Amino acid sequence: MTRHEQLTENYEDALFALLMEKAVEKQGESLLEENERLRKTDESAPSPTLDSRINDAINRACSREKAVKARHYAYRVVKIAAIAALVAALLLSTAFLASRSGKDTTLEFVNSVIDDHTVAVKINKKNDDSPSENGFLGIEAGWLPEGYKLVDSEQREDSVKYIYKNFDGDTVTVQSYLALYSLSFFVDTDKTELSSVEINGSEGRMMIDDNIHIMFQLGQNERLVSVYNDGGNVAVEEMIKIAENLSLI
Amino acid sequence: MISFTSNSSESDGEFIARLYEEFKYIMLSTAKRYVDSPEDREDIVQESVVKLLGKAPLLRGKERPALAAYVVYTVRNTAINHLRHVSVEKAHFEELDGDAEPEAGAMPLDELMALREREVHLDRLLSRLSQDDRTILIGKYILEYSDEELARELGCKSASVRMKLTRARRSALKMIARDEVLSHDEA
Repeated sequence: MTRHEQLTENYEDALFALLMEKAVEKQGESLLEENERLRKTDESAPSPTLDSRINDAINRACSREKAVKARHYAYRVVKIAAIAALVAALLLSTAFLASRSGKDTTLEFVNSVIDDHTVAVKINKKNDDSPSENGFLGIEAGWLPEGYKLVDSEQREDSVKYIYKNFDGDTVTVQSYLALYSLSFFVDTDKTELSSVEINGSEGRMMIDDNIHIMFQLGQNERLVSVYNDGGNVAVEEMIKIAENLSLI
Repeated sequence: MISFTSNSSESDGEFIARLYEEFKYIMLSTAKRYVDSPEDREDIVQESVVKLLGKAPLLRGKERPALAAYVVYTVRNTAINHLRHVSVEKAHFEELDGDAEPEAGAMPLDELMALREREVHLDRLLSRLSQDDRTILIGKYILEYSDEELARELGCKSASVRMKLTRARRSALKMIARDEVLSHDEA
């Protein structure tokens, strides 16, 4: 696009915005008159239940917003400590692996610092035997935040996915995989807060940015489970509680 | 009549609760134009209030007439999306890939400048536009959506939004230039 074309487009945009602003103001005045007429004649009056539903919806949305802000504040405070802990964990990684060698879990999570902004999380299978479990990989959510219910599920050969939604369209996704091989993923630590988390005695990782993601081993086999909240509108404590209340079926 | 001066000590929730109390009649009346079921109308109004809560900082700066229009257009959009979800014939709402469509030519600058003082009749303008053009112009210039929000409304890629917006705006400006959509006083 030439400079002239860009300037013309900018002018069109500003001109149209001004024309619309004037038109909206004029229409708004008619709408205010119409609103007043409806109010006086009690036409289109809301039911008593609607008023209370609206108040509940506003309170729920505001509580969620406060929880998100509180979470971000808490993790900003903890971030420095978390980075220090990560460095200490790397220095002690040999002793760490040795200390867990006696446990029954067959997946282990190991962090490696790649550079100032990147950590690799490797999920290792402790042995190369075939998976100790075959067949249906279903899991069940024993607890969900208020309003969430199962809306969809999808099963593939080695994984299964469950999607839970509430009335506002917020989503929690639970996926279960058979970890046939060791795998790894990278975390941009400038954007994402990475921390260790323990779910019913199993080690896992939690990643928080605009979303919340927990990955951990469920049960005593190579079952890797992911609990994911798109948009970060579920509190961290509730995400952990969801994970802790998942069970095999 | 409740004055709508924004109170800086009022939380967003309190502000929106007050906004709902002020405009609930016209919100329901707007929803009524799109759906028959009282339950669906109330669902639409509830969903609209939650959307308005997300825009509370933007709304606090608006005068009452602009607030009324914003609220009504939010309910309108929510109702249309609700209809899309229940419609069997989704093909009517499928978005063509805008990248393949030719971009409308710009009007000469002197003709554009002559439009400055026009008084546009908004309903007349919007009724003449295609559904997609209506959606994108309302989204951009009345509801002040970001490009990402517009892409979600249209079901297209973010990269397509700018071109769709330019095309829609030029269609509308040409209608305004042809005196097709002016207020009664001027037409």
